[in-house]
Amino acid sequence: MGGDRLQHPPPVPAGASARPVHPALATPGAVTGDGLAHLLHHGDAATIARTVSGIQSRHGNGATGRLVRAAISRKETGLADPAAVTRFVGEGRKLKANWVKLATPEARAKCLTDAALAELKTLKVPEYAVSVEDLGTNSGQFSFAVWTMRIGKDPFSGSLPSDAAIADLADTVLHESRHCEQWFRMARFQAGAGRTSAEIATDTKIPPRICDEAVKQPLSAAGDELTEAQGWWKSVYGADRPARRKTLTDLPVLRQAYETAAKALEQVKANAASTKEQKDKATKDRDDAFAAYQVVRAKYVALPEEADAWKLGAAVTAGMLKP
Amino acid sequence: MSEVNALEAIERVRRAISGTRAPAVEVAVDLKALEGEGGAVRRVGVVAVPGTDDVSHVDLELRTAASLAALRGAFGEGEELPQVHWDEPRSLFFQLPSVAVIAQLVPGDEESVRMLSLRRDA
Repeated sequence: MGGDRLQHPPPVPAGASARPVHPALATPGAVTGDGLAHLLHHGDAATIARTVSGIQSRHGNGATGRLVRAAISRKETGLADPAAVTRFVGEGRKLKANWVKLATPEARAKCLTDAALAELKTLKVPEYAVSVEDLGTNSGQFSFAVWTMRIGKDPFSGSLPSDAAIADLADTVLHESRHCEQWFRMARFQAGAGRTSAEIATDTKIPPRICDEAVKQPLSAAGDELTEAQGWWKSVYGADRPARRKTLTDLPVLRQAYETAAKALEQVKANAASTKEQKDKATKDRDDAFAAYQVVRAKYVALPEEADAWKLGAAVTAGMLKP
Repeated sequence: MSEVNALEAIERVRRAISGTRAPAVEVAVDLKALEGEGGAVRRVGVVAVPGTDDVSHVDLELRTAASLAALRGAFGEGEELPQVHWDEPRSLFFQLPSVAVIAQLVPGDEESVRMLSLRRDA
């Protein structure tokens, strides 16, 4: 994660995140119970009031009441628990204070991964290994098949980054740690459905030693934990797997198409001989490419496991940037 | 040491990590020789299971990309792993006795493999 930003005119307003807001909160008319629950747990009073008012005006008091009651009763699970996020942010802030003293990418990354691992330990999620590697601009990604958090060397190198950049590192580490929790919860869900460790390992490619731990903690009791795990499973390994694969395959292709169209537009603009028609067409091509990209990107960030990790990361960023 | 190709390197790592409890630090020293000048392997990374000195997996970065066809010829068709994110390379999973091979396809040339992880399963 960390390399998926795409700038497109009009530019993102100063101070606003280039990342999309949680899809459930993107438009008031599309607010879902999941998005509202997150907002009620993590949002500020003004945003909550504005959002609830928006729902009321669109859906009436009865529907709004039902949605709010359901959202209030819904508990954030695992790493998404606001208390866990607050503790992680507290540790994350120390990274900024100690950046220069920590000196190496490994030591700086450890500051964040130790904090995330402490939270995962309380949740009885098996510890992931940490490997600092050359990942380009990517600051980190969880590899479930080897149960390892791969940390990008470059983003953790160099002089003290901006507050926003450090917040982004913390966001990434907890986002990716949530993926670790998700994959373990999916394995527990399968264990709760009666699958053996060997069967879970074969189906998911999660390491056998992790699957052994999952069958010691089978998840079958009804509740938010199980509901989430079922949704993640359906998306990654279940009925929605082909559609998910298509989304992940299409996205880089459409991104590349947009970048090509944007470059072509710049070339047309730079050519003094270009006609208005050529400029208009190149502009339309670029905007069409961006629109096509946005459609698939919206599907991507709405994937249950991605939306879940995004909202957690967003809560970390907000906490890290709070004065 | 003599030059080794990618399949030979995989076999050497497999023998080094399967059916043994050799400490990760010793395995790392043993496999460091694979990085020898001119061989198939540019970098070897040995990762331990957290809190232990058991080998979790070995990462191999190949000097020259190996063909996916060669891997399939040696290990079978393999299965595609679900990607976690769109911007990570696609990977194929090959289950061998005691070891799993995870082959990362080169973006833009998905008939080639440059990064491999060998996971110790037993």
